[in-house]
Amino acid sequence: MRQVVVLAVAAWVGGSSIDAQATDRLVTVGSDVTEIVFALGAGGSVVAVDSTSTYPPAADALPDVGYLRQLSAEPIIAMAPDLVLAGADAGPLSVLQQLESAGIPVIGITREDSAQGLDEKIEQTGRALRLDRQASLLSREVGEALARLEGKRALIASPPRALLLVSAGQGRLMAAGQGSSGDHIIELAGGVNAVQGFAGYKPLSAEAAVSAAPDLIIVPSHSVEAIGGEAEIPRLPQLAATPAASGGHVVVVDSLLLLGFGPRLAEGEEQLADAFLTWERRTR
Amino acid sequence: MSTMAIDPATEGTINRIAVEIGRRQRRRWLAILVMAAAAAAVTAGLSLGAVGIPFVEVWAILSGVHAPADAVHAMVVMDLRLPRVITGLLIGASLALSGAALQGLMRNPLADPGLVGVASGAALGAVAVIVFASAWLAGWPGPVQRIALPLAAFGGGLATTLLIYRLAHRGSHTDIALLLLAGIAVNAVAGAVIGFAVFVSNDQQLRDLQFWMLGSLSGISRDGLLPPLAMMAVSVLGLWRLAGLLNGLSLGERDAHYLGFDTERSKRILVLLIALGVGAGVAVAGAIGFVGLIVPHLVRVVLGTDHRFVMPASALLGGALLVCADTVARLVVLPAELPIGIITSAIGGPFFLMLLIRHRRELAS
Repeated sequence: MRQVVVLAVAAWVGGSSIDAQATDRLVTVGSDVTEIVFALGAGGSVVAVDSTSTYPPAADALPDVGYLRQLSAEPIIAMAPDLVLAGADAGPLSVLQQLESAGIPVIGITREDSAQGLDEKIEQTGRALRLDRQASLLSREVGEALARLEGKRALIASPPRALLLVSAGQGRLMAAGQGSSGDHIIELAGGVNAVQGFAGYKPLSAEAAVSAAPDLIIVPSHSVEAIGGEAEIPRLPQLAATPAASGGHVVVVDSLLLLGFGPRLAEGEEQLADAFLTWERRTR
Repeated sequence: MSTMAIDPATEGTINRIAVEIGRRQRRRWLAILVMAAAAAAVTAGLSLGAVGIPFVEVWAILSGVHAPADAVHAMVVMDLRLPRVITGLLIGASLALSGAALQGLMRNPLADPGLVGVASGAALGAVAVIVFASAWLAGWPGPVQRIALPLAAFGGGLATTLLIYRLAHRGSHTDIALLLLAGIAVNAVAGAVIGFAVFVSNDQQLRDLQFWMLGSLSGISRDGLLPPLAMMAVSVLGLWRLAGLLNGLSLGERDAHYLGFDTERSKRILVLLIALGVGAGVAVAGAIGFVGLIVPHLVRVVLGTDHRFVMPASALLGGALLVCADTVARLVVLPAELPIGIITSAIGGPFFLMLLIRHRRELAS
C-alpha cells in the first residue's frame, strides 16, 4: 500500500527530478513553511499539508491534516512521513510530542514577522531538508525582491496612515495593532500604522476608527468576502467617517502573499507600496 | 348474561402490571444490548483509525502477549487510542449519569448539564485557570499545575449547580422555565467571561483556549490524565450508588424523607458528585453537549424510571455513545479530525427539539 502511494506521488510529480534528499515523505504545517518547501523545489516530497497551506495549487491538492493549531497525531502518523516541518503556530504541543514518540522527527521553524525572520525561516527549512544551497539561492532571490521594494518605498514622500482590518466573523472587524503581522506589513511597504496603543488584533470601534483617521484601509483577500465585498468596505458604519472611506482608498491584498510572511512577501509588499504611491498621486 | 364489568381503576392496574412485566423482560435484553454496545464501541475505538492496524495485532498489543512487530503500531494503540477510549468512556458515563442525576434532583426531564449551565460554569473555571492564573501557576510544581485545571472546572461547575438549584427550586419541585432561564443566564455570563478571556489572552493562551473550547479528545495524552479520570470515576460510582435516593426523590422530597433518606445531606452529595463529574470531563475534553440529555432519556423510554436500572444503563450507553462519536470524529474527514462536540450536538440538537415537541403541553402550562 505504501509503495503504491509513493509511486502515485512520483507519478504526480511527473518525472521532475527530485534532488538527492534525506526526506521523501514530508508533512508541512503552516502556509509559510509549505511555500518555502515548494520554492526550494522539494514540493514533490510533500505528502500532506495543513488546511492553511493553499499555495501553490499543488500543495492545495494534497491531503489536508486539519487546522494547524488543532492537529491530531494518528492521521499524521498514518501518512508515514519521515519528517514533519512545523511552523510556529503548529500545535497542540502534546500532539507534536506524540509524533516524536512515534519516531517521526518534528522540526520547528521559528517565526518572526520581518525580512530577517523570513530569511531565517528559509535557512532553517533548507537545513532541515538538507537543501542549503537551494535555500541560499532562494534567500538571495527574496533579498533582491526586497531591495526592489526598498527602491519603491523610497518614492513615497509622506508615509500614509494605514489601517489593516481582518474579519473576525459575524461582521466583527479586528484592527492590526502594534507588533502584529499586519503592523509589520504596513511598515515594510512604507506606511505607518494608523492605530496606536494596543498589541495584536483587537476589535475596532467606530470612534477608535475616527480617531485613528486612516488615509488607507487595507483588507486581506480572505476577509473581503466576510465583510460583504470590496465595495461595501467604505460604507461600513465603523469606517464611514474616516478619510480613507470618504476618499474610497481601500486596498485588497492577497492574504497569502502577506500575512504568512512567506517567500512571496516582497511581491505582496510591492503591491501595497504601489497602492501607497497611487494614494499619494491621487491626494496631491 | 352480561359480560363481566371491569371498573376503570382495576383496568388501569392491570395495564400497569402488564407494562411492568414487559419492562422486566426488556430490562434483561437491554442489559445485554447495552453491554454489547459498549464493548463494540470500545473495540471500534481501539481498532479503527487513520493508521491501519489489523484487528489481531491490536489485541496482541493490548494483551502484551508477545512483543509487537511494529513499535509505531504499539505506540498508536497504547498511547493514542487507549487513553482516548478510556477517557471517552469515563466522560460519556459521567456526563450521562450527571444528566440523569440532575434530572432526578430537579425532577425535571430537561435538565442537562450543558443546557442549565453546569458545563459553562465548569468551562468558566477552566478558562480562568488558563488565562488568568497561568503566570501564577508557573511557579508551582508540575502535579499542582495539572490538577489546577480540573479542580477549577469542578469549582465552577459546583457554583453554578448550586446557583441554578437555589434559583429554580421551589418547595418540592423545580420550575422548568426558571431552570432553563437560569441556564441561559449562566451560559451568557460564561460566554461573556470567556469572550473577555479570548480578548486579553496572548497567543499561547489563545491556542490552549481554542483547542479546548471546541470540545475534542484529540489532544489527550497520558500526561496528567490521572487526576481528572479519578475524579470522574468517583462521580460515576457515587452517582450510581445514589440510585435509591433518586428513586426516593422522584416521589417528592417529603416522601423521600419519610422513607428514611437524609434528603438535605444526600442532595448536597448529589450536587457535589454532579459537579465533580462534569467539571473533570470539561477540563479534559472541553464542553461536549447533549450526552447528559439524550442518554438518560433513551434509557427511560425503554426501561422506565427506576434509577437502579437507569443509572448503570446510562453510564454504559453514555460511554459507548461518546467513544462511538469520537471514533466517527477521527475517521470522517481523514487525514484531519472533527471536534467531537460537533457530532454530539448534531445528534443532540434534533433530539432536544423532539423532546420539546413531546413535552410541549407540560411546558406551556
